[in-house]
Amino acid sequence: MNIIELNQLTYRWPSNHEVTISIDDLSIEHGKKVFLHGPSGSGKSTLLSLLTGINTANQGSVKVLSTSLGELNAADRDKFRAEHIGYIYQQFNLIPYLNVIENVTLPCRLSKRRGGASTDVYNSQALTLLTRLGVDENLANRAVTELSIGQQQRVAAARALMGAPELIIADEPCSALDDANAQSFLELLITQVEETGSTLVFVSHDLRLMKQFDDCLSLNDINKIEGR
Amino acid sequence: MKILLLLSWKSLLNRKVTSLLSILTIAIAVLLLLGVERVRSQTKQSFANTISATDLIVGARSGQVNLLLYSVFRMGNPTQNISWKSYRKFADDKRVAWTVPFSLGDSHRSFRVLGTNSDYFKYYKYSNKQPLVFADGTGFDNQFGAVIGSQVAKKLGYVVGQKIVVAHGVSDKSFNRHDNSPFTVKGILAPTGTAVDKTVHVTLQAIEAIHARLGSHQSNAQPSQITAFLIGTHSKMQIFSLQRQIANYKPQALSAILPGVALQELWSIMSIAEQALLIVAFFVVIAGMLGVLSSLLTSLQARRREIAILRGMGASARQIVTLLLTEVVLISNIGIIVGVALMYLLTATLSGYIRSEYGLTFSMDMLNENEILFLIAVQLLALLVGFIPAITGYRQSLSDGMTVRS
Ligand SMILES: Nc1ncnc2c1ncn2[C@@H]1O[C@H](COP(=O)(O)OP(=O)(O)O)[C@@H](O)[C@H]1O
Ligand SMILES: [Mg+2]
Repeated sequence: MNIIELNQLTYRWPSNHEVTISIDDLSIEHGKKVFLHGPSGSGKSTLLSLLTGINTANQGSVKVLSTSLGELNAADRDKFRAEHIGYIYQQFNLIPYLNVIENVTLPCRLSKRRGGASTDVYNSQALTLLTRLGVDENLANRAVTELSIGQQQRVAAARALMGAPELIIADEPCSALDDANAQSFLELLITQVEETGSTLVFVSHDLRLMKQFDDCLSLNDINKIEGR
Repeated sequence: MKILLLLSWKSLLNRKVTSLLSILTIAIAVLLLLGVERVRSQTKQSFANTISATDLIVGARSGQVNLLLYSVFRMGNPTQNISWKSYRKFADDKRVAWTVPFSLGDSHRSFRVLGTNSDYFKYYKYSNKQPLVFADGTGFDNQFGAVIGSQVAKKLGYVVGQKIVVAHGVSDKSFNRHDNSPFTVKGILAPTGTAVDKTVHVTLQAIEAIHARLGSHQSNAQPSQITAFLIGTHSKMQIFSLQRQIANYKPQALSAILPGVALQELWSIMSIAEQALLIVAFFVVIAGMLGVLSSLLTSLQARRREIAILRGMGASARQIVTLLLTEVVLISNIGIIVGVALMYLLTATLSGYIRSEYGLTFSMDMLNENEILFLIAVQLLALLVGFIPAITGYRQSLSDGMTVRS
């Protein structure tokens, strides 16, 4: 079964002249760990914003978990994202004025389905995830601004994993980390994703990280934009 | 909802200085608004309280506002006098219970001097039929005794027994001081919050004496004319017939006015200024809101990232708008509370001073209906203004997508 199905998809940023994304056909199987690479500016983040329903396609369809995102209204897309997708950014993933544990539990408190339990339950889930991702428990009540970038990315990963969403999307989460940190971050992330059986779409331009993944996609190969 | 409140609260705390400044801006605007409103209603009150229990005020023919101004507020000058004969004619009328004669036109060190008799202290009432009370001393005692209002005593530092000199006319130039007619302060009145506080009261005979340059301590100078007089009637039913008769009095052109009606007319003239003041206060509130708005819009730029993260977590457009609106509402709410608190604080610390200095009483009264309406208006305005950053923030997040390019 496919978790993601793209069909005849095109997207152009309203402020741009050229089309950024034009993909004929792409599907990603449930439970797979997919590595997506491409040069900077090739449209990787734009594609992810379409997968998450932050932006909607100009043409074609984006189906996630058999739901056609283009057919949902904006509020339902937000709800869908909250319930089924965990997202990790390149860096500065965290809300600066919330502490570590508050950041991690935030998705559960914003969405009923991801959470649905009491604050205590979230907190203990969050602590488990944090320890598994190598963040010491006594950092839980620290201000996130006091953490190193590596620690911040782990906290962000814990947040994305909270409530075990079906799809985890990471947009170059390692690019701000040094090699050793990047490697261990990726390993911990993959262990967690395997445990929950989530699908992982991982964007990076560092091809050395590729070997841990099931599939590898090059955006330049699948993205057919004229003139390029 | 609870989480959004928590988020906006923490975000405000995170920007302590700007939040505090915004709160202060609103607080000061609210303080000003309430202050103006309170001063307005207090002045109106004390205005209406200036004279009470008097049925008619009689003077040479003129407009009622003019007559009220010089007789009760001791402002401006009478154009013409009333002969003693005319005064006696109505003073002796059987419908008249009492009269108080006024002779105006002199001054003592920029305070108006009022020539009258001891009936003044008996019949002149202010506020809710409150009589004048002596804080110190007694009435005139003799022909050259003077009774001074509380502010005169305070400003000039006079005590009972002080010798003073009265100038002819209101300009108080030394060349026309009646140096040879010294008065002695015999009594000091308690504060009333009316023009009485700023008046030096002397006897009619003394006024007559200094104008006739009769020299000191002449005992039986008989007044030949006065400026105005107050009338109290036996029965309210007789006021109008008496008023008509005075207006038709042939030997001299006179006017008799109803103090309440004249006060109302005067207030309607004055209230334009008061209303202007209130409008200015409202504009200060609007200026304050714009200040808050600009600081919110500025901070929004720095918070694009934060909003994008929230959107990425599935925060809906409505949640983002609510979040940003909640911040404005929190700021204005706290601002209003601080403003009201400041108002009471200022009232508590300054009311004594204002009362003794200006005769206005500011009480710690609860907020009245009007004031609560004003505060609700401020709050609604804030909410309205808040939609601007809220919607801007939301639209930014749409155009940013998942990446904020900073
Ligand atoms: N928020 C945006 N508004 C307008 N254009 C954008 C926006 N984000 C990206 N783009 C454009 O889309 C193209 C692809 O950008 P992006 O998806 O960020 O690439 P990548 O993530 O592969 O580096 C670029 O040409 C960029 O100018
Ligand atoms: Mg990118």
